[in-house]
Order: sequence, then structure tokens, then C-alpha cells
Amino acid sequence: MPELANPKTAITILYGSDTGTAQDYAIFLSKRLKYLSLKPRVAALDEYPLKNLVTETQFLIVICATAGQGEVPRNGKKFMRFILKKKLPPDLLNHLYIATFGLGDSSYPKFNYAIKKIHTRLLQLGCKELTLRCEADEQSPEGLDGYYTEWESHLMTSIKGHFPSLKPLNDSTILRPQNTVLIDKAGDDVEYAEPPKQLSCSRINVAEDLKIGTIDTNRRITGADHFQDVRHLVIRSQGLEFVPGDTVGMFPSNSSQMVQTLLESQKLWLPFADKPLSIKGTIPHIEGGLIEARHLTLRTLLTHHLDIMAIPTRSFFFSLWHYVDGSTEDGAREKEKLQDFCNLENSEELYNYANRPRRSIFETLLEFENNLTIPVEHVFDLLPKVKPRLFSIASKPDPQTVELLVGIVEYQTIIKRTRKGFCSSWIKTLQPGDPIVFSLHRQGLNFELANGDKPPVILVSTGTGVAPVKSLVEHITQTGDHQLYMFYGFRNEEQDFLFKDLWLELQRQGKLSLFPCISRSGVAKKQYVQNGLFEQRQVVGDLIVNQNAIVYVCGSSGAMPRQVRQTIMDILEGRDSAVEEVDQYLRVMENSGRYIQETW
Amino acid sequence: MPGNVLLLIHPTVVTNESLVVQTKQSLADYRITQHIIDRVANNKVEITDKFDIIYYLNPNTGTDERGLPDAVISKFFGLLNEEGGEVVGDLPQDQALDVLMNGFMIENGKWVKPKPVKMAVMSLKKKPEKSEGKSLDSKLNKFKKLGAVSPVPSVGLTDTSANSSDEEEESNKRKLEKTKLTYFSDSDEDDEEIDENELVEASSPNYNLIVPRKCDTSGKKRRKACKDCTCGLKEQEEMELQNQSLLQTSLLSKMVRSATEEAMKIEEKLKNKVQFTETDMSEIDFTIKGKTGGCGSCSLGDAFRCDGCPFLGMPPFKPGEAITIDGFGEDI
Repeated sequence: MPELANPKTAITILYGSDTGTAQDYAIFLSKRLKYLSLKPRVAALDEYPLKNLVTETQFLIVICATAGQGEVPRNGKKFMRFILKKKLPPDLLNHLYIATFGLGDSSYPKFNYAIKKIHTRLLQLGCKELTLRCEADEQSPEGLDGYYTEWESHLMTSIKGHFPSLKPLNDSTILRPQNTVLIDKAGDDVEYAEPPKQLSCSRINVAEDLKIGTIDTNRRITGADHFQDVRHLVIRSQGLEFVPGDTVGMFPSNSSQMVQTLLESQKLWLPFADKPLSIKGTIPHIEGGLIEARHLTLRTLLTHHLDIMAIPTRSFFFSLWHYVDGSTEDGAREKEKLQDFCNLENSEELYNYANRPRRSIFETLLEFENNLTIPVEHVFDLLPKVKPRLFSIASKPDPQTVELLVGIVEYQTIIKRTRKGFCSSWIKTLQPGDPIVFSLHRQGLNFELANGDKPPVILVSTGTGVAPVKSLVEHITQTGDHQLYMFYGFRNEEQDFLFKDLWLELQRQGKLSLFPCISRSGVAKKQYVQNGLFEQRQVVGDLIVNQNAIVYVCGSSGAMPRQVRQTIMDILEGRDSAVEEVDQYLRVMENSGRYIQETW
Repeated sequence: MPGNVLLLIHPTVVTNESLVVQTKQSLADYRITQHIIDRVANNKVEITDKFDIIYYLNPNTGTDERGLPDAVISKFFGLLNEEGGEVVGDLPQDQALDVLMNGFMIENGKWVKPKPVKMAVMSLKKKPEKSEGKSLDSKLNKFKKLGAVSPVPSVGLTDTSANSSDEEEESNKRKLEKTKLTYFSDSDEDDEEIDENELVEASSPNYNLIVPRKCDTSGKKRRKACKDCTCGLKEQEEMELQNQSLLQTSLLSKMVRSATEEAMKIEEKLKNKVQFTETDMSEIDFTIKGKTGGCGSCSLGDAFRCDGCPFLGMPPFKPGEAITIDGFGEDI
């Protein structure tokens, strides 16, 4: 039988990514393959219709990070559930060649578990290996890039073997955009009848599952001297359905001033900034969709959908240098520099320029504006899209009101201008009465045991991690079903004891056992939540072992949740009737939903 | 002999007469039957003829608007000659699955109705019925088994035996694909899953992972501090940051002072802006002990500045040109 040439479109790259690193490797790889004149498609694991693995894919490349507890990132859950199905036959995917690349950190115990699972399962389903698996370690001196470089070179060799007659494109070729931006240059300027905040809400008419509401309150609730501005945001809406633990997705917009600055910086853009605009081709899935087509202009696209505050990545520079005019000495130098930033051998340079100081794409574009001319047709492909930012709900279920707690992110790096979180900056602009569009996301938390019992809940939180705790406490104290034990860590009573009056009142009514853990009071000894738990070890141990209590831990990821877990283990171990195999006991708690961790 | 063409037109094309005329000219060699697709889809017209080609004309430039309901694709299949035929024109590109499920093959963007294969049709094992218990027997679900129950012995569905013709090959491939696709239906969410932790155990500890070549620039690479760093790297970074910040502040005030003197005359005009000249630059820049400022890259921006350059973190500037202190400000 004659070997059929492999179609150039048979390559699919899927990524599982929480922070965007895996995603950027995937996009970078797809661009590299395009320069081999291949036509790969790239998508998140859960965005890609899995049926297409059968109908259009022969080469499957998976690039996947590992989330906290050794599982796949959020955008890979559906994919994982599918391949885990027991009934799948062992030759279901025997038409596929696979290559897998995992991103992990060897200081965590479940190092690269996600890619191990995916790779092993795909082999069980009949896939053949295009090249060996690679498990990159962020902790190694070579860094992720060192691993990627080696893996990619293996992969390329193998792919070239499967596609023997490829004619690579010249490096300086500008790739045709996947989604060309077309501007009706002769058209009339679009009149923005509504202010930007209203325009942002127009996506409600396009995407499903969005909610619309009005800002009721946006108030700072930390003391004036406190280092952080924490906002209590109250939104009025209708028909809201949520339970404690669920989250709200918000869609921040860029400031009009920043967008104007960028438009002025790109001379080709400014004259057409307000002309009608359309985007060609099948647009990859964008959560929350785009604003209504009739409002689309370069200005509104930059304002609502393109994340110019994001840190520029390698795949971004990989495209960007092509747009620099290198005919002058300055231009040539700048072009070379931008090209340097995508050089895998030189990864430290990119890190020091972009990641370490948290530089934004906006700043980079301004810094290189003299010789940089980005064709407007390429804008949508070049710039990352704004993704919704998720916040835990801080109020009891209510069809008309939802409350959030938002810590405003501002900090200093080596860059003189203060770094401000994109979403934070936007939230600060929200005024009572402003319209707002948002999404609700189920987290599926359940505080009832399988036998229908409603056990006590031990709530452990720090900082704004108190948000979901407030939701749960408000909900439960209405029904009075569970006993509540709350360990809340904050710095000092005047500055950041959030919702102090609420907790004290509930305690007075006997509905809540409150254990404040104050870390910077100046008088008392520093106390963290883990100290508080340990002090109450008799109570805590009894609640867990004899009353099947649920432990719910919320707050910033890192040391706090790890140390809390360790403290709980110590408590269980140190009891008079000590629990044997504590580690195993805790794992069973986790798997049965009695130890819940909500950290970010 | 010229064949029969069924020209199906999207309602939005009707107004664009030239497009229709053009298309018909390109099909001049054929006998053309023409209908608006909606009428065919809704059974408003009855078509009894069979066709060699179905041509779908849809003017929408995007690929999204071309979608066809499953029933229409199935209808296309029926309208084509028993001896084969193809659907061409402005076809949806994201409905490969529907197309395949209706028995077509996709070749170069066309949907081709396969010519009948002169062989016994293999009876495909139907997707196991809802009763989960039985279907969990994984052996039953192996495709390889399917060959054995088919009336054609020795031809397993995944078997590529040497003497099968290309046509058989193609037909088998399609059937296999169809069977595979049944496993992808979203309906059965409650399927039993294997424990993912078993997969980690199953992944061989002796697996020959790809590892990077030894890092030969060791010592130069700097790691970033972990989120909850305890090794001192974080403090080191913070210290550097503080020093840099102090440096910048003193530098800026120096610039402002010297520039103010220099630019006294035009200060009114420039308001918040500061002018500084080549001389200022050489004066200001290189006061820091141990730094050589002769590299000439300081003004170019962070991308070009040396490690430890006092200007790191400030925008690019040109000696002699006004830079705005605003640019460092808070409000962008």
C-alpha cells in the first residue's frame, strides 16, 4: 500500500495551563511548526472538540502543567475525565502519534503528575510515541527552557521524518494571521453612543451564561494605614443562582487613556481607531465572548478584549520582531534585541527584561515604537485576549445580590512606575450605579456528608480568603445546620479584621466559635492560623475524629495551606488515641471532600 | 457525457445575481437544477432526480455562517447518484464529523459519496446499550475483536492486510472512524472512570525521559525566588530593588536639578517637562562607583541597558530631548 503523505493540517497541539506558561510554549511551538510550512492547530485541552482527534488529527502534542494537588490545570479537566473513562477500548486512539511535555516544580511532591497521567493513559489507548516524554523542572538550573529546547529538537527531528518533503519558510517571513482584522477604512467613524462600561456589557447579547448587574457599593474596608486596599464590592442583579464556594468572573477593561496612548504610538492605527472593524476566520473560544459586532473598532477591541497589561511572552516576541523596520542602525539594533528575546538559549534575558520586573506589553510597545509598525490586520493574533478574573463570592445565596472581596494589587519592581494589577485598576474605577457584566462559576462545594449528616465545619482563612467563609457562614447561620469554628488570620484589629462586627455579633448569638489569629498586634505574641489551630488542638482533634468535621482552608497559596495541613496532621498524631497513618487519613479526608482547600 | 448538477443557493445570494451567473457559467457543461437551499431543507420542493454534483453557493465570507444541519447533509447523500458523486462549493469546514457520520468521505474539501464496494458489508458491533454492567467488559470493546465477528474473516478493522484494495481500505477506515466516534458522545457523563493515581503508578519508573543537556553557563543563571521563599533569595531581590529605587530617586532629583538650571528659560513652556543635554548626561550618569557608563546604551531603554545600570526601570530617552516626568507617574 502506498504511504499517503500526511496532511499538513494533521497536527494538533493541546495545552493545559493555569498561569499561561504552558500555553505560551504551545503557541510558540505552533509558530515554529508554521515556519516548517506545517499548519498545526493549537487549543486548550478542554476547548478542542475531542471528536476531532479522530476526524482530523494524526499527530497530537500535549503540553501540560501540573496544578497544586497533582491534577491537570482547570482548562484540562474535561479532557482528563474523557480519557479516564473505563470503557474506552485500547485501540481507540491507535491512529495517533503523540508527544508530551510537562511543566512542573520538583519542590512539590506531585511533580509533573498531570503529564505522567496523560501520557500513560494515551499510550494505553493505543497512541504511538512521536518522541519520548519530557518532564520539565522549574527548579533545575537549566530551567523550563532547557528542557523545552531539548524536547523540541527531538520532536522536530521526528516530525521532519513524517513529513519528508517540507519546504521551511524563511525566518523573516511574516506569517499570515489566523484571524485577520479588517477595518472598513472608508466607513464612517463608529459613534460610541454608550460609555465604555456600557459597551463592555453588550457582550451579554452575544455570549451565553453572562449576568448583568449594577454596582451598589465599592468601598475600601481596610484601615487607612493598612498596606493593602481591600474592596468590598456589592453587585445588584437578578436571577442569580449560586452557593457558598462559587465564584464570579469579571471582565476588566483597559483605561481609555492607555488605549489612546497606544493608538498614538502606532501611527498606522490612529487614523482608523474608530472605523468599523471585523475579525475574519473562526475565532478561538473566548470566555464571555466579544462585545457586540456593531461596537467593534480598534479602540474598543483594545479597550475590552486585548490584554496589553499582560507580561510579554516569548511567543509574543517571536511575532513582534518581524514588525520592526531594520533598515536603520537603530531599527536593526532593536530588531535584533527583540529577536534575542525569543532565543531559547538566552532565556535569562527575556526573564530579566519581562517577567522579573513585571513589564507590560504596553510598555514594551512604547519602548520600541520608533521602528515598530504593527499591521492592524495582525493585532488580534499578536496580542493576548483578556480572560475573566475569578473571585470567590463573599455573600450568602441571594437571587439579587452578590458581594465580593477584592484585594487591590499594587507593588513596586525595578521599573519606576508602580505595577498595578489590570483587574485592580479597573475595579478602582467602578462607581455605584455603573453597569457590570459578569459570569457565575460553580465550584461544586458540598458541606453535607454522603449519609446526609451536616457535620461541624472548621473554617480556616487569611486575608481576603475570608470571602467564601463569609458566604458559608451567612448561609449556614440562617439555617443553623452546622456548628461553625472559625480561625481567621489577619494583621491587626484596626486595619484588616474584615467584617469584624459580623463575626462578633454571630459569636455573641452563639452561632459561631471565633478564634481570631492576629499576627502584628504589637502587644501579643505573633499568631498565625496554624498557631490558633494548635492551641485549640483538643477541640479541633475531637471535631475531626469524633464528629466528622469538614476542614475548609481559604487564602493565598504557598506556606499557609501547607502549614495548616501539617498542623492538622500534628494534631491528629498527638491525640491520646492517636490516629494511625495520619497521612493516609488526611488523604481520605481530601478525597471524600472533608478537607477542602481554596487557595490562589 | 455531461452530468447533472444540483445548484443549491443560500437565500442571501439571490440578490447577488452576478455571482449566480458566474457560478452557472463555470458549470456550463452540466445540466443544472437550481434551488434555494432553504426550500430543499424544509421539503418545500420535491426532487426526484439523482445528481453527480451538488454545488452549494454561500456568499458569506466567514466560514462560520455556512453551517448545515445534519438532516440536510444526510439529504445531500441521498440526492447523489448511487454510483458516487460529490458535494462542492462553499461548504462548512467545521462539520467534518457530521459529514463523516452521514457516510461521506472528505477529500480536498469536497464531500465524496463513496462508490459501492463489492464486498460483504461488515456488521459493526453496535455501541453497547445503556445497561452499563455488560459494556464494562473491556474485551468486548476492543475494535480488534470486531473483525472476528464480521462476516469477512481475517479482516480486523485495525488490520491492514496487504491484499485489500484501496477502496476497501478506505471503506474500512471510515467504518473504524465511525465506530471510534461513538465513544466520544457527550451523553454518558456517568461512566465509570479509572483512578488517575493508578496511572502515575503505571508510568514506568524506568521510562527514558528527555532531559536537557547540561547547563554549561552555570553560575550565570539566576533563579527566581519562590512565592514563599525561605532561602534568602527573596530578601536579596528586595534589597536590590530598594537600592535601585534609591539610586533612581537620587538620579532623578539630580537630573531635575541640573536640568532645571539648564532649562530655566524654557521651563514655563515645558511645564512638567525637563530638558537635559549631552553634558548633563555625562555629568549625571556616571557618578555611581564601579559603573562604567561609556557603553552608550543607557538612553536606549531597559532592553539595552546593562545589568545594574542606574537607569533600569526608566523609559528610554534621548539626550537633549525633553522627557516627561509624567511618564514615570502613577496615572497610566
